[in-house]
Amino acid sequence: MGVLLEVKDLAVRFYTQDGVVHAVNGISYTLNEGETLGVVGESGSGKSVHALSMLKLIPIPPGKIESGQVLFEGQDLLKMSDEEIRQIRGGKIAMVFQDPMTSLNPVLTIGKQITEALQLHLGMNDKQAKNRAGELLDMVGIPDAHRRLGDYPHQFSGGMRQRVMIAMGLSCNPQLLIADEPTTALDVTIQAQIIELVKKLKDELGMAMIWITHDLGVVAGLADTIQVMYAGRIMERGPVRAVFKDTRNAYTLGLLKSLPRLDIKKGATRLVQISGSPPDMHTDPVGDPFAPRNPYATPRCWEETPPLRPVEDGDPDHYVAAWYDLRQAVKEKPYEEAMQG
Amino acid sequence: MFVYIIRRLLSSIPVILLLTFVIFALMRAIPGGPFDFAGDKSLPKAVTANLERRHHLDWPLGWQFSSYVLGDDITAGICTGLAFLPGCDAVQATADAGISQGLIRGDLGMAMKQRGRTVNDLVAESLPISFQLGMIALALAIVIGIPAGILSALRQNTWLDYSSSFVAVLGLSIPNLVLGPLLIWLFPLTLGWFQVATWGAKPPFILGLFPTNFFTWEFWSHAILPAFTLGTAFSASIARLTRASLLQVIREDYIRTARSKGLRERSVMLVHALKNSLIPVITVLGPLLVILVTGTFVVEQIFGIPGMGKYFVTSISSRDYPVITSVSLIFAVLLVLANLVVDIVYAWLDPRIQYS
Repeated sequence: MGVLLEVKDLAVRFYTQDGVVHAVNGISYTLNEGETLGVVGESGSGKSVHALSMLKLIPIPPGKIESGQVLFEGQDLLKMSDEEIRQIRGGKIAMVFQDPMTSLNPVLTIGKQITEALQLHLGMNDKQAKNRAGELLDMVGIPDAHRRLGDYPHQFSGGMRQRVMIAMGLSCNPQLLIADEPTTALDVTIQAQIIELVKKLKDELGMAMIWITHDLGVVAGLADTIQVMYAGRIMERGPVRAVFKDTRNAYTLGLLKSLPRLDIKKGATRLVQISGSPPDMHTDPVGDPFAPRNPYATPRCWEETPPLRPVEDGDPDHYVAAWYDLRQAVKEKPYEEAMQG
Repeated sequence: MFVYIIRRLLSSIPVILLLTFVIFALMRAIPGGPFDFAGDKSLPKAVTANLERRHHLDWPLGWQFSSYVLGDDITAGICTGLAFLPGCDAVQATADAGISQGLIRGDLGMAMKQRGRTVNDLVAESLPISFQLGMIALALAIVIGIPAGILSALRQNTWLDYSSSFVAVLGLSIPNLVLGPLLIWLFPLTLGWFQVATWGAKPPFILGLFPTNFFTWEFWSHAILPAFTLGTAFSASIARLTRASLLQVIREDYIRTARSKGLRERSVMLVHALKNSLIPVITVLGPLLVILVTGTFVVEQIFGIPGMGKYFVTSISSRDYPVITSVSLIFAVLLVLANLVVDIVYAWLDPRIQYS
């Protein structure tokens, strides 16, 4: 499979009145055709901003893309003119956003909101676009789809609205779908339905996908590759199984340990939380950004920023940014103990 | 929708009646009366008493109001049937003078200070002129205000935005009292454009409101300056409001969605943002319309326009009770109608709003 998207050293900052926010600090990765990448991180880790920046959807100013390249089919999206990037948006790369309650325009019909992209990118006329929009709604499982094209967003439930958003995203057969926390605003049952739907559609349509979330469970069931972000950097990246079973970064480990598990032994202790607080994005941190909260941090972590490099004797696609050897450190002092000490 | 409109209109009747009564009572609570003086001279006591009796001012307040709303004959009828009510003797003594048919028959009463003229006459000749002036000023305020607001929102924090804001603040801060004479000095007196004063349309009016010579220079040469004077301040506030509202809408999630679909910036603004941003603007347009149509005293004075604005002021100082009550009543009715229109436009702009 060929490389579809290549992000090189992307850095994004926001110049606000309260100072400079270092949202994304030089991240690089590649995405293959048909691959599903799960991007995980807490609020403010830069996971959404990095995706929006690729399509130049962040507000500029105060936002500014400081450096980097985003190569999509060999072309740098960041160097494109407004007209060129518009052809990409919604056409080759589509996005689905977090909150379906606010992401659909309340005063336009669903039909209008789906057909405008079809007419723009695929050059359909009114009638073709309307038929296609009906098919799309049908595909995402909205009953009585053709009749509902004339309805407004407020006449749909939250889950149905997210289905509409997905139909809108898929309307022009994109090669890449970026889903920015698409299930966060939905309740758990609807979440499961939406994830099943996306899985099914992805298998049928074969596009690549970047799924941004803070829910490790969702990623485990959906993604091929997982990428953990913290303070605008990639901390760990690799095939889902490798990252979950052979964790190499203390932050990833912290996230996994803070999750309730069904398979844990009876009488198990309470969940372990990551101590400290998220980093202040106003300062460009020197060293490993997670060092202040990391019980395994070495002196080097405080002084030098670790690069993302392949792990030693592990999966060849598994990368980590850490100066310490987590496997060794955990062997000497288990995580639960380390967090208490 | 039809049922909704009917219900709204019916439910506004008590409000209008209450408001009419409050003004009716408040006016009579002001010391002095309409017949204390004729010009500069005070009238003999007997003459004053006679005039007051003719206009039922010797009746108790409640019966006066009844005469204003229901008419003399019905009021007298009530008194015949329920003669035990206080003040009925006074009513029965002079009810046959028959000067009021009552609001329910569309009679606004007899003007007290303009002999032989009814309030209906005064309204019929002055309201259309104020209406024409107000509508032109409103149209001007919208045509200038909304595009100016959109433009400065789209070009936020550029010289275009700053200069539009500057002009808007200027327009808001210059009182009509200053702007009117300035325009008269500049255009008709210095440049010889437009007319200095008076209104270009005369009765009869089409449907009682619209001028027959609307498409003539005669009409517009009189209308432009006063309408501009009246409209500037409002176009400035509409521009500020449109700008603020649009800037808020632009930050909404669905605008990001629209951009992520690859739409042109122009269609993002005109299709996705504008309709949402006009909702607060429409809200102020209703009351604004009424203020423009009725509250034009200063502009009408400066330009010598025979509109209705002067009655709001002169009829209070001259204690012309039926006139001030009636023009207030008209103001209230217009306000009710304008707000109804605003609510109907809401439903058209925002499908989430439904009336049933």
